Amino acid sequence: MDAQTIVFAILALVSLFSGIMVVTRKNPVYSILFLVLTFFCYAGFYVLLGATFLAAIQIMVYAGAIMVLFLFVVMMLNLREPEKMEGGASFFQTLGFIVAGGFALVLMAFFAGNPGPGVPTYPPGAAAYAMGDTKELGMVLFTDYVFPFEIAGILLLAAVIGAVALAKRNRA
Amino acid sequence: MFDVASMQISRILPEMILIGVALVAILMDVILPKGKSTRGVQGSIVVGLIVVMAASFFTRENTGTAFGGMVIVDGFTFFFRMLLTFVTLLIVMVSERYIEGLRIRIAEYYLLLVFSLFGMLLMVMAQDLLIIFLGIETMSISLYALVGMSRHRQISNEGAIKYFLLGAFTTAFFVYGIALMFGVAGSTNLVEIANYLRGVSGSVPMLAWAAAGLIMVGFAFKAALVPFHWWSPDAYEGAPTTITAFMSTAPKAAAFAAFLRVFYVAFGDMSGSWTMILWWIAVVTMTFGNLLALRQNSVKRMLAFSSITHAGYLVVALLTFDQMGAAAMLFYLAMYAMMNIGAFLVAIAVNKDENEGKGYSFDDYKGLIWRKPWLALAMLVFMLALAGIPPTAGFFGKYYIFSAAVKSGFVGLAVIGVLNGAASVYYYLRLIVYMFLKERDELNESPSLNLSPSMIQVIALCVFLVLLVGLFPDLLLNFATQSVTVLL
Repeated sequence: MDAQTIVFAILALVSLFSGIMVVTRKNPVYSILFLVLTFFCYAGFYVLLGATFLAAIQIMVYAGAIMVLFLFVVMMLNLREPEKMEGGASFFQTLGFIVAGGFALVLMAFFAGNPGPGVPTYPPGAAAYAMGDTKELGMVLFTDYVFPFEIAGILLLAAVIGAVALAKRNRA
Repeated sequence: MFDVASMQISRILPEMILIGVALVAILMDVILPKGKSTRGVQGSIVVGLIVVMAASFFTRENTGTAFGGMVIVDGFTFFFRMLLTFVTLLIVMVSERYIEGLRIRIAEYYLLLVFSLFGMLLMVMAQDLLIIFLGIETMSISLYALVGMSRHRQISNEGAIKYFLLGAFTTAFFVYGIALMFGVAGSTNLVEIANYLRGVSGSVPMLAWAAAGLIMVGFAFKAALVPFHWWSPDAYEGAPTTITAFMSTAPKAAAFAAFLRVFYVAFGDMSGSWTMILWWIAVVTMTFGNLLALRQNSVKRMLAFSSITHAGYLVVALLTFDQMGAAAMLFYLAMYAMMNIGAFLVAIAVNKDENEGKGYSFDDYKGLIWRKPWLALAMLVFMLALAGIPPTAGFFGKYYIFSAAVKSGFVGLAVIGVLNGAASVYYYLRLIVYMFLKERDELNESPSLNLSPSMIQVIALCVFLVLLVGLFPDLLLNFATQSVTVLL
């Protein structure tokens, strides 16, 4: 067992544990803090895969900015005593559990079997491996993926206009 | 190395013009003085959309891929470019008076319509799941805001928040499907996915099935198919009625177009299985939509629920997986847009009070033939078309779909579809009975109708098109058939 496998195993266990904690905590603040931990573990996975830039973004944007927003909203709503769930699980909760569990089993069965011919494997040192490199990423983003990149800009503009339209006071 | 000319930017000229129009309109809103800005924004967008249609028309011969295969411009793209831009144009033209009555910020309303149109145009020309995803998101984010535009009405806020939460949730499903597909096939390009699936024919990995299923969930949500329709009654009812008319036609058409392209082009080799799933979705969608529409006492809700049923007919066309079915779907989408927009406009005109929350009652239509004969006759045409009764275009729409289904061997499904069509006649006819046979109730009548000149023009145009295509269906069917030949 090499060091990479050990690190992966630790990250996997911690992310699984914190993921379960996110959905089982009654206090939303604890849920959010465990979600931050989960996101940190994901950043660890990205580093293991060689995508260092993605790892940095994951921590800055998700674990940082978005989670602060989450906390902010929860504190603004000021949910001191979380409402208690009535009785057991409802029909839809049970159904959701079965569907999600079944889907997880399908995924596990697939990955435990063969990864399939199409799964790209990047040996260290290969050109694709350099995807973690910021310079390479920038090159790809502004050449092959320039069209999606520009669309993302327009998407954000639409979102800004929508947000302003909903939030701004009517000039009357 | 990298070459700009190889990107074929000229092929997306209409979309570039559209974004230019949006940017000009934003500036208009800021620069022009308060009283004139609305007119300026609306005028520039109306002109801009006409230019977009003209640009699509004159560049229709310039077909092929662009941006390294991410985008494809072909006959199919052309059909939907024209249809979607036309529908948006109609909505922009008729909105002004109604929207002002709701105290909605009007410049942003038009801008968001344009942005959602941009997203839809991306969806219909995308040849890459990544572009489809971005298109869906651009369309949806604009729509979330549009649904919640009349902020002082609780029902509008409720519809918007439900639509937004469920929409964000299904987006996750869709993206997960794309990610799994990329994991299996090593590409998000539709053609390369198709090549991969053809290569492994017979032993498609389980992960590809999961991916296709998740992508199907994403599309089913956008097209409001049962059981992914839970958002639609609330969103349709809460939205301003012009937006309801828009949402039940254009975004639905765009969703079906992308649905069709992805499943015909990329997942064609898996068709044996997904047609089976869609068979069930079609049955429950048609039936469930009808059952809900039967019980409504509000015309707006009735039209909203019946749009679920119509989505069911479109699934029947989709799952035939042949040229005739695809052409029937395009035909139906185009004509359904005309009759539905027309019906919603009449509903706006007759409605007494939007803010009461009890509007759009069937009672408002009592004896409409004596009050406003032309409006009642127009509504008669729309109701007959929606019910699928000749000589309207609705009849041929259903006829083509079900004959395509029979030809492809889905006889049972066609029978269920025809029965559902017959059941839907009940609630469309009910409105006709109110308009023509019930006594006029002069005490409770609103003194005037919510009609603006542009609404009258658009209603007349819709009646004309529905009857014209009803009498000469080949006009549209030939166009639709030509448009789908590139896919099969």
